[in-house]
Amino acid sequence: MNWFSDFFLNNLWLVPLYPLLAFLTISIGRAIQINDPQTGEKTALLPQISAPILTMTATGLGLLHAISAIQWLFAQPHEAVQAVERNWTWLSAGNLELKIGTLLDANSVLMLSVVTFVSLLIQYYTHGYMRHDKGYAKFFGYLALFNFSMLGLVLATNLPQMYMFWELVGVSSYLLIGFWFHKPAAAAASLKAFLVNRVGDFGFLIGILFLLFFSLNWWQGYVGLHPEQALLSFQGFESLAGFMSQTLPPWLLGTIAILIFAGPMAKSAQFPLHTWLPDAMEGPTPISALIHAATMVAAGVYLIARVFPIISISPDMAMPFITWTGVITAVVGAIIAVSQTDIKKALAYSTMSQLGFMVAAMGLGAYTAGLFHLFTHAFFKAMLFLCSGSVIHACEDEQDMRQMGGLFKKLPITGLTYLIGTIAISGLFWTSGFWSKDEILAAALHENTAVYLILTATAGLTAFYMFRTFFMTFMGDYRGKAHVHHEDKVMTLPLQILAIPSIFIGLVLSGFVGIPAFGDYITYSLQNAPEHHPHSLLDAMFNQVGNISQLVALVGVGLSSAFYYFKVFKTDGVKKVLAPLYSLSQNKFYMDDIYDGIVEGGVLLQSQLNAGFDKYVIDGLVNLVGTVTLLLGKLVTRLNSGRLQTYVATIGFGVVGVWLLYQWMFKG
Amino acid sequence: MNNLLPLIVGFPFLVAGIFPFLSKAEDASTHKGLHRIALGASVVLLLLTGLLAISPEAQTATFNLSWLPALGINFSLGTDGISTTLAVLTSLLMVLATGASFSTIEKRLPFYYSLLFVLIGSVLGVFLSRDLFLFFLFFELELIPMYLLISTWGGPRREYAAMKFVLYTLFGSVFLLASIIGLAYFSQSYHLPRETLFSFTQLGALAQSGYIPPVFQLLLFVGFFIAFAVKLPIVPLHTWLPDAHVEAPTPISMLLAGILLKMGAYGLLRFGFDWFPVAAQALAPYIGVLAFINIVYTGSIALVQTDMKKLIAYSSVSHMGFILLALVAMNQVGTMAAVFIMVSHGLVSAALFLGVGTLYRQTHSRDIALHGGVAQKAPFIFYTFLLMSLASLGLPLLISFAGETLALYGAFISQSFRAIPLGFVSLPINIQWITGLSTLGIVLGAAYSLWLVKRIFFGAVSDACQKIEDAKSNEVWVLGTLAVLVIVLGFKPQLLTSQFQSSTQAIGKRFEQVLIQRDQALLQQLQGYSPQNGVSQNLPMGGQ
Repeated sequence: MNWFSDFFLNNLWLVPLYPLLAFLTISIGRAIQINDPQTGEKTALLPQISAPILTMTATGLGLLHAISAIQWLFAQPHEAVQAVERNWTWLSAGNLELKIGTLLDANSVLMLSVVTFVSLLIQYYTHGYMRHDKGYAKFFGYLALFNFSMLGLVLATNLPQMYMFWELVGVSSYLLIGFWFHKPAAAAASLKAFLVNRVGDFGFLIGILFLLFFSLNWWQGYVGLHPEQALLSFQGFESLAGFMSQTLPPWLLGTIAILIFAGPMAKSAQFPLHTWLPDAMEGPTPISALIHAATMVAAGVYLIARVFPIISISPDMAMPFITWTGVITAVVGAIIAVSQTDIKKALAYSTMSQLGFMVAAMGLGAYTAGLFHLFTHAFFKAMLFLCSGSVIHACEDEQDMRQMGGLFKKLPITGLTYLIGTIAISGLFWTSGFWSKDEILAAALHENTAVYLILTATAGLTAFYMFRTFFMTFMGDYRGKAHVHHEDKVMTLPLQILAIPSIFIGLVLSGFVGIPAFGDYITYSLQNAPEHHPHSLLDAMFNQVGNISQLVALVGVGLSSAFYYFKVFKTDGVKKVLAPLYSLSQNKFYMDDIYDGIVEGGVLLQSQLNAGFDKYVIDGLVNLVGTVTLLLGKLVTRLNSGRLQTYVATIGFGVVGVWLLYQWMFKG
Repeated sequence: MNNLLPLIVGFPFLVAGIFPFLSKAEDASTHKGLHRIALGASVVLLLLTGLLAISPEAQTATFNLSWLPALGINFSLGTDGISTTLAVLTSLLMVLATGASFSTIEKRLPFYYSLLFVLIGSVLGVFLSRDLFLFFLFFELELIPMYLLISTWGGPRREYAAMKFVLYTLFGSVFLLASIIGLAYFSQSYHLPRETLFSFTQLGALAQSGYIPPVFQLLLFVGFFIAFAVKLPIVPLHTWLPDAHVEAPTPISMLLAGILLKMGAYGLLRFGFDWFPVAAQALAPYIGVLAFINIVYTGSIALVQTDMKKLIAYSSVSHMGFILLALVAMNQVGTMAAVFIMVSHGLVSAALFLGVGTLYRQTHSRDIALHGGVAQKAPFIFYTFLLMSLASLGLPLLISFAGETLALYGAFISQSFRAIPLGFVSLPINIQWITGLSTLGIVLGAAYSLWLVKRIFFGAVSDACQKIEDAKSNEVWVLGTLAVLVIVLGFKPQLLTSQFQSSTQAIGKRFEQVLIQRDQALLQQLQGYSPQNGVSQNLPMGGQ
């Protein structure tokens, strides 16, 4: 290692700082108006083109840090990676000291490289996609803001820091979904995304408070022994889990874990908090690729990985809860994806389904498998979304697949990369998706047969709906009216680059090509954790789980082609046979309607009642007091009539009254 | 340096005295001149308080002038971290409110600024007094300019709102006066020095000493509590606030939310909780419930408001609930959080009211439904309003987050109550439950803030907003200053906490001591009843 990579490695705190500076420069520079010396018109201080340059430079510098971090990781023996934690005090109050810092270990290196690499490609792509948009510079500013938040989250050393950046990615997502805020649908979707995530964070925050409440003394001892670590440092979670499992009853351990899991449930679009994700597709497509497919939604899985020790001490409550949440999400997402006609919505539900796979893996204790799938999924799902963006761009903003078809000839690179992505997500032919999904399924088989069967069937369904989108978009005859443009070179380059990891990264990190296996570095030292280690490459390629899943996927592909390519079967007949399921799928399991009902019939109604109570009862009483006082005043005025008789009578009654009171109080 | 204190309190009154002699002409150039004089004076005031804050005596300065020795009343001023912080906040918001007046106040300027400076002078007097009677005078004095400001420059129902504000506060003042007299009575009966009858140190030491019989401690605490509950405000004494805000002109709304509510919080902390911690601890369960109601009940009301200013007014009440929750925590973290929220809410709510004010100035309507798509027309207003809404809902790295998080954390680890006694029964609801439920406030906060943003700024441009223009230059620098503060103090909250940390720690430690003593007494009592030793392990749970 030379001084160069040493610098990058030792100054990880710069990684989130670059995009933050880019964001601030862009927003301030674009806000300040100056007079153009040539034309005399008002222009922004900062020219538009500087926005992408700043943002991409910031991300590129981050990527350099990531590369030196990878070198650092691989230079160490995988069984003894020495994590490096650095902290700075953010706020201290009483016995609470909140810190912000950078944590360098296998997990953060993994996420750091994914986020910077995919971000950089997507930013380059954005230049092609958003070139003609009014808010081009602003968009890059927001992208920089997102990168700042996401990288701060990835490098977080402790749970409070994670929570802070977790909220910040939420707000970047809010801003980007609502980027075209003049469209009512985009405005509504951004609000919905933020609020659903807030509901999850509500649980998450209470979970953190619980955790602190029960372990504050313990942490003070722990931080005393490890002064370089912060309160609630992820490095200390293993010891914390040991302490907690000895002192707290199981139901409490489970409750805390599930409360914390509420955060990932919203952020990673787990059933039933998933409804914001499909709506989030109102944002520009590069955002859908970056935030709502590759990075931010995966942050939930990353968080579960970080707090895994806390979850693993509740094997009978939190773990099954997480597993089944993931399984239900995987199934529901896949079923809904089947009936979608909007290409982005179909991909969004597919993302939801794949996130379900990852979360289920976490719940099964297959920690590395879940993260591996997160890693491979980031590449091929980002690529699929970017392909869809290329298609939408070429078809003049058409998103309905019924208005597409036969686009392969016009858009060959897009079509080919989309096919690669489809194969990868279906887990076919030993592409990336195969390896990671295979690990999840193997873990499921080891742990819980029911989960295994359901997930395998879902994998088949995945192949079915993904090939359906491929056939509907790229095969057959063109059905739309829009004039199809040619591919944009700026947009196809990232596709080609992403195709490489989509095919090979799974194999490369499977441990058979001279590089240590992905799992070897990530592996969590949990007893009883099912780790799947095939003995040889051939064995791995043709093991039982992999064979079955590929076979099921092939059946899915076959059915899909029979319906949508060869048109042997008619979809109408199937729709009739599966009518209840189909209407469930079409109506997205009625989740949106249920929530609308809850919000309108519950929250808003109750609020209206409260407002009415406030206005008529509380304020009514206040005004009543005022009115009564006024009336009494008038009455008293009348008593002051100036007539002697009234005064005498009043005095008389008063004397008698005082006497009676005296009798009652002291003699009675 | 000791001369700085009377200067800070006296300067606004001096300025107020000069304004009536300035030109009363109602033309643009005179107005401009008057605005500028006021701005200059308030900047001088800000510099004075800033000087106090950075001086080595920022926490300890005192000033004493014998006033009415026969009655034991002194003109006594002093500071600690909390007072200094609030004084700086006050003069800062005065500068900003003056800046906001440039584009909103268009008649009878000499009178207006005269009243404004009297208002600020009395608020500074409230924060810097070290004599309870002087405090009471300033506390009451503030009512007069506020009444006139609302009833002269306010909206259509200004007289009703102003009268309601005054009567409500006077209602509270009766209790305040009763408590002050009660305290003075006990001070007399223990033969404490007559000359300093009303001095904070003397009365505070007496109140904290425990020489006052418990029943009277409770009564005195309740008196102070009701007086400041009106100001804060606490449900059900809050209904003056939405009316006052709605009718008040923009700069007055900024000051009302920014600093006048903080007088309530300040009084609760300084006299209520700090002087009568035992009584506060005894009533903590009920105050905790009130805090929860404040946060969630008014938060939900904010959600369904159709009037922009009312919505923000109710959200203010909801945020004040967090201060109350932080106080009920009765520990170091909570005390710090309470002061932090005073400042953060002061800045954020002032900015929100100004943001709404810029729209009201142009559309002459506060109806949310009439607005729409403003973001396209007025990007600067949009971005600052969005920033402030995000700050208001507690986004990390913006100012409110630190305060609200500390409040929730402080309350969650607090030992202040473990059940709510209701006569014969006792509800098993501890402060942890209350805090957990109050966390719902962050969901509601996000909902009403961002829903408001969506309805006003997003979507297509509504008919009423077709002609809307972006902020004027005076509004730009006011909002810009607030935005910078909200971001900088959000990134580095310790810039703020270092100002008052030692003061809140001292108070918080006293609270914690009281709770520990209570628990020890309880423990001894229980051990006395039961022969086993095992009881002690089951009693105080968790935390510290």
